[in-house]
Amino acid sequence: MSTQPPPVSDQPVLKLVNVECTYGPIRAICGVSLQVRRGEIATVLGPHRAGKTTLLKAISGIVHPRAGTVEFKGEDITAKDPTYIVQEGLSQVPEGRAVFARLSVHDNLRMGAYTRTDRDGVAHDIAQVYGYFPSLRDSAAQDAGRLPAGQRQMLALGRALMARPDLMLLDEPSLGLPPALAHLIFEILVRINRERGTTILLVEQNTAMALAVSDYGYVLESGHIVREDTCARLRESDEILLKTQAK
Amino acid sequence: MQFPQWLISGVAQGCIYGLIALSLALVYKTAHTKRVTQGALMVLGPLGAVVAVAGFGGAADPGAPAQDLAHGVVMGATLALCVLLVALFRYSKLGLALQAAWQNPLAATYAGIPVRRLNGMAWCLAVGLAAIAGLLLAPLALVNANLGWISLKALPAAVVGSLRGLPGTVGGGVLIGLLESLWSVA
Repeated sequence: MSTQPPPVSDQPVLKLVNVECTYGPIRAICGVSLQVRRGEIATVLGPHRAGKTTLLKAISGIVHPRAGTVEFKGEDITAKDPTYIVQEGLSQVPEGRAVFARLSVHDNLRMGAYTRTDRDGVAHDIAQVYGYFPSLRDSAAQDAGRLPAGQRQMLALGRALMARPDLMLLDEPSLGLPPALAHLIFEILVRINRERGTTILLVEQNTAMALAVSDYGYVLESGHIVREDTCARLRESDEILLKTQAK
Repeated sequence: MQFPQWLISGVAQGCIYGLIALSLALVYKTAHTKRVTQGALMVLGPLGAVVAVAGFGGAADPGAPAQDLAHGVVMGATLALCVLLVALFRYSKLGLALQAAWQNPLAATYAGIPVRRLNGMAWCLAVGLAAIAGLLLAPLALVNANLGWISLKALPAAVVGSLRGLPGTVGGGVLIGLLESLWSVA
């Protein structure tokens, strides 16, 4: 495993400016601005219902912001078609280990590459995902719904990788997993970031684990960014740790 | 060896129930993520196609030998369509994407699958299937004049099919056709 982190450039690959999302009368996120630089692992921390999932949905084009802009690689992608956004190189691992339960593991991975047309490249990348997660190779022909929780999370991650993203969003990848499995997932995340140079934006309630692997962190509370800093500095201030872990 | 007539006509009639049921099951799948009233309206597409095509073509008056030929054509066409559909859904990228969209629309969207567009295509496929069923039904329809009831008979097969998949749907249709044929002989 190469441990050299990819060069982080100052150029943001993702830039949110004053993004505001509402569900009817409820404001889920209120004027969130953040930047993710190319090559880094960034994290958004915050308690349950802070607006983290909505934030990710707004970036992926599932939820259309009421105000503000989302910029990806310098292009305004606010409220663009989700298919287009994936094609441009932004994919997401949805929360809750969402896989296609009655498709085989292999077909789940194929579907991750839906927007791609390079057959050879897809076959190569499937082999690479099996390299990251050897247990998935063993159950390649099995229905994804029959996999244990840890492997379903690996599959969801592998499927998002199949889009060959420049930026990958992850929504609570450790939620509901035993600590050992959560550690494994995070280890692979770091490997993906180091080996492929994939920029990662991670949303987590598990503050300690997220801070351990990330470079830069934002703290989201009731729809507002209340703090942002390098993770080294965030780790030092226990106050956030306690606050967010107490939910 | 000579098969009894009731068996042949029962299977042929059942094949048509099966095709209509397949069409209804497809619409059910695509309407799954939508509102109920919308789903009900969407069913009108295939049903309209069956009645329109069968009614239009039903003017031709086939004699007895033509009747046997028609049975053969129905069975052959149904078999061919089944093979095509199985291949589509099990192996093609489009078919897999449709299944993905039905199993988890949100996750499919995150994977870049255009869920709404694919559902629209599936609905067109359903209407096309129903139209073919209507076309095949036309030569047989002189025997069974009640076109409107045909689709109703396909409904139980569609219910079975949406639970048991494609072979179950057609099998259910054939079973209904056979039972009906036996009933009329007995």
